[in-house]
Amino acid sequence: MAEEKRQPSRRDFLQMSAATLAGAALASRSEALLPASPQGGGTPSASEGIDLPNLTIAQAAEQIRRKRLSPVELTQAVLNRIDRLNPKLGAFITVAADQALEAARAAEREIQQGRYKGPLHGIPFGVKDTHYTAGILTTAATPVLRDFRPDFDCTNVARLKNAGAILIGKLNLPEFSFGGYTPGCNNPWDLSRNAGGSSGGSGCALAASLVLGATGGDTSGSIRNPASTNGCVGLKPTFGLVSRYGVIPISWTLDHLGPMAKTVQDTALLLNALAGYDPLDGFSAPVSPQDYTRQLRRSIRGLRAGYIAESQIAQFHPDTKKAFFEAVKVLEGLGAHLQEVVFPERMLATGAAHGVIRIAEAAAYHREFLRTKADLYKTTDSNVRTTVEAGSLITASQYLRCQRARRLFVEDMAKVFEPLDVLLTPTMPAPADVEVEVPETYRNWWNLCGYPALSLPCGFSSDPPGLPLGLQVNAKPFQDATALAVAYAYESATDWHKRHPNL
Amino acid sequence: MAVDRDFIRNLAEANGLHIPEQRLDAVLRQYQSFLRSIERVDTVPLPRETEPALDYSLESIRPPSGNAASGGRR
Repeated sequence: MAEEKRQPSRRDFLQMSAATLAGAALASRSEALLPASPQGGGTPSASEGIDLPNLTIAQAAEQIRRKRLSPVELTQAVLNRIDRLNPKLGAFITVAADQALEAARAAEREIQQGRYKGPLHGIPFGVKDTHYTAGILTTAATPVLRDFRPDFDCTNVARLKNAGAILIGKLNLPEFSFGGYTPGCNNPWDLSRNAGGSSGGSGCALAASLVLGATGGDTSGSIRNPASTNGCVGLKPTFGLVSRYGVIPISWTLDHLGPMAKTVQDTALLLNALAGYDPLDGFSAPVSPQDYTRQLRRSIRGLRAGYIAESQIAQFHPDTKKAFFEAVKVLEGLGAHLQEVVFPERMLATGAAHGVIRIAEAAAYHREFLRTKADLYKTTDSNVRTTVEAGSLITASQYLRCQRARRLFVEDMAKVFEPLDVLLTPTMPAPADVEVEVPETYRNWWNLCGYPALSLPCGFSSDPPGLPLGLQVNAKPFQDATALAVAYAYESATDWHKRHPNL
Repeated sequence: MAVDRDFIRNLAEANGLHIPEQRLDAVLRQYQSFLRSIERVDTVPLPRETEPALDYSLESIRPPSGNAASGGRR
């Protein structure tokens, strides 16, 4: 990230009028850096010389809270970076620049008037283009919804806006979120490779610093796949912890929404805003708000950490296995008590229920589209139409047998987890676009049982070189804070998250 | 009954869907892959009292006291 220009900016936006600031920021067309020498006599910045889009949420929030960084300037710097990089990355489907700048100016005014809302105030974020956004196209990357402009924000967008965050735009995905490959979205670490999916735009935008925070959707691993593939953090929370209301679904009983960010701390900050009961989501859990950042620094000494046996991931890529077992050793060094885990054979069979439940529910959602807009589905880079047509032929009896098998799966998972606090696996079987044949990926299992599952960077591949690898940390239901604490401990002991792609 | 193009066509019609002739082979292949998953699930004996997880309850795995959750899911 050496090519960004140094741009003089304001030291203390309270010393200037909001209008002046906004005008200056709008005039700026470069990716701003916090200044090396203060203007207007402000206190020297703790982040001098750091390019603004590369800041984490926590870092930017500290500058904004101390009134050393204007939300307008930060938003403009992010928009400038999107202008420069999105054509070759394809992370965004829609950039809502005007709305973002308007929201940033409002945030600036609020902070100026002493109404600081907290660490998301003035922070630019993006959402997967399945999230309803009032007045902004919401396409799910399908021609079926090419003109769809919702008249309300989904719960997650509303909650992030209420926390003061700035919606920058809508992020790329495969058609209707189907699949782990996002057409047209390139991996910032190697532009010849894909960003994964289905929340590929979210992972790509974070790795390339086109947003400071994002959301994703996860039915079979679609938050964790791009988090791992792009070298960022993604949390599929416990089922019911984060509302799905106002988001285009795949499968009502498997879909999860959650935060994606550059660091574990940022992920916790986003979860603070997103988590909580929503009466508009029929599966929402009656949980009280809590501060997930407060538990990040708790010791993991004595914590019971299961890790998947090598025999169960024998066909995973060698670099993936090497990075995984080294990560396990790091956690052991931090005081975790390790236990090797071999999943019961029965789970490999009952786990197959996931694919049937997923597509039977998806077919029910797509029925109207199949009857009225079937010819609008994509014919290249997508098999959604074929899949939901075939899914429409699954009988109620077959579906319910799979839901009964799911009950056994959940019971088995509870037994596996009984002596554990967390269970560790690699997030992906291999680096981006590297094909390996594996009997089980251990990703959609966490959708089937609803347990929280987080992916964070744990290394880079050597063959092919330089591609991010992910560690998956799974915890018991509603113990999302435990997964975050383990991830934070690991992240603090390593420096994978400090590396950035050369764009 | 053979699972073939006619089967797919008829089952789709019974479900109120028309699948064009040129799409039948692709849909057939996809449907057969779902059948393989169902066959795999069906290798597991289901105890008679096992109910479907439609309510998808985590009630039996309540969070420990002190956690933010005030109860399990419905």
